[in-house]
Amino acid sequence: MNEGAYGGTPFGGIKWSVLFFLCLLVLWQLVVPFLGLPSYLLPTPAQIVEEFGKRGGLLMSQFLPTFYETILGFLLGVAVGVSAGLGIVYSRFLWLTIYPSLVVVGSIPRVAIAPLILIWLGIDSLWSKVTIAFLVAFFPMVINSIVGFSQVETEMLDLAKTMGMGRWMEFRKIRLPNSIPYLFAGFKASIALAVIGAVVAEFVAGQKGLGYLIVVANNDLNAPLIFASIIVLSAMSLGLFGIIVGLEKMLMPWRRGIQPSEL
Amino acid sequence: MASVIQYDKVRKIYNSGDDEVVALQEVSFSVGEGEFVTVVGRSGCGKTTLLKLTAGLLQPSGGAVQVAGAPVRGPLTNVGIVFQAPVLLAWRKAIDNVLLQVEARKLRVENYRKRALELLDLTGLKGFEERYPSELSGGMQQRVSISRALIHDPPLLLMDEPFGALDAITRDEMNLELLRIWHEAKKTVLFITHSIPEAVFLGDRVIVMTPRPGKVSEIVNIDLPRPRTTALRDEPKFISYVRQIRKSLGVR
Repeated sequence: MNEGAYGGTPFGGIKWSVLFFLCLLVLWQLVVPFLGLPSYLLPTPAQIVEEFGKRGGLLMSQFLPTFYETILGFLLGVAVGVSAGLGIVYSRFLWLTIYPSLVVVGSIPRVAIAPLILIWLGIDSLWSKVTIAFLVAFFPMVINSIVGFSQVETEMLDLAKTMGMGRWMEFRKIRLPNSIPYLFAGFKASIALAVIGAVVAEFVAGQKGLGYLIVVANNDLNAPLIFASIIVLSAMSLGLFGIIVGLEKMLMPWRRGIQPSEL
Repeated sequence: MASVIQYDKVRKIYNSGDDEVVALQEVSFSVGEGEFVTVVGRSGCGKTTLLKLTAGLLQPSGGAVQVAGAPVRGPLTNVGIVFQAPVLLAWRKAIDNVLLQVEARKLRVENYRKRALELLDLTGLKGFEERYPSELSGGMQQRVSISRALIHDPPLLLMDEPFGALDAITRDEMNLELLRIWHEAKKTVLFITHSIPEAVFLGDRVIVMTPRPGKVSEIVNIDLPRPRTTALRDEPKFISYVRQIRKSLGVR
């Protein structure tokens, strides 16, 4: 079902994309000295690798705070987002009161309130950064849970009634499993946003973390370190995203089945 | 013959803003025990409303619907329902979709597994029990839906254009199979369709309905021998029933 336009197995073209990427790296390595660009503008891949060797320990120590902020912000976003979604789907009162305000909050560019949060919760506190990551990340979770818990065929709910299902069983057997694909779409959006939230928080007032390291490296005109930090950040994002995709495949075997067109 | 369903001057009015839509007006007829009654009409003649009123999923605005001698006040649980869409849960295999009916009723699933397999066999799904709905064709999905409607052995089967989304060939096959199942299981069936030949082929009686407002224009007794076979569709008597109903519906 994930087949590309040119057929083959999912990611069947992986060797081609790796090859292409390697070619780009080689080209980059050759073009920079040729153009005479200084390393503080654009380092070569080799210089970035060298930076990893020199400052691996520093990168690792700055990776951990960012990782914690991201994970905690994401988990908080999931907890609050799913609870809010549930409340809004099951209570007309919450639908009328909380939902409109959430839409307003959702329309605020939340990174813009990062400085305020840092003042309120303390610049040196982990929780101020977690809160910013959470605020940036939770909105897709609310929307996706609302859709997931409520987008059930009317006929299915009618059938449930004639089967004598109560509300709790209807939730457990129909609405909850129905919401899983939507929740996973929310997880994927949220985790990427949580990384952004954490890095922005560190930009604004960090004393540690990869966002902070990027600011420091930038002040030192140390472009190789900036690139190295960005690579670590991307690897973290990709890894977290990969875990979510893996869980999704594990939890939804019905999405992997043979399609009718193949029968 | 005892009547299983009794419609007595049933009215249903939908309010949408200031507009009133009369979906059903003064509908009266009854369905006898073990009878196969088909309801035919154009879209918007209130057929689906009639089915939902029967199942207790809607309440009439006037008149009364009685099932098994008692007025319908809320959702009935001793019926089997099949809609036009199969309405299966994508995350459950065919057999588990059938067994949902059992789980919902808090019955022991293990006691019904054998019955579920029999039903899937009866509906022609042997070998497909462990497939997810996305791995089944439209006709196969509808067979799962029919098995699910039968597993708790309800005396009454309500079917709302169950074969409406299938191709004509599969549809004719499903008609034959449904008659076979009905013959074996001895159910009372209320079957809604917009296909005149289907209504004639299946029914002991055809309730012909016309829209705006939805009302019964004619009730046609189908005096054709059972078991019915495909060859019956070419018989002059069959064709004359189809013609009669077409005329009653005002088809040009």
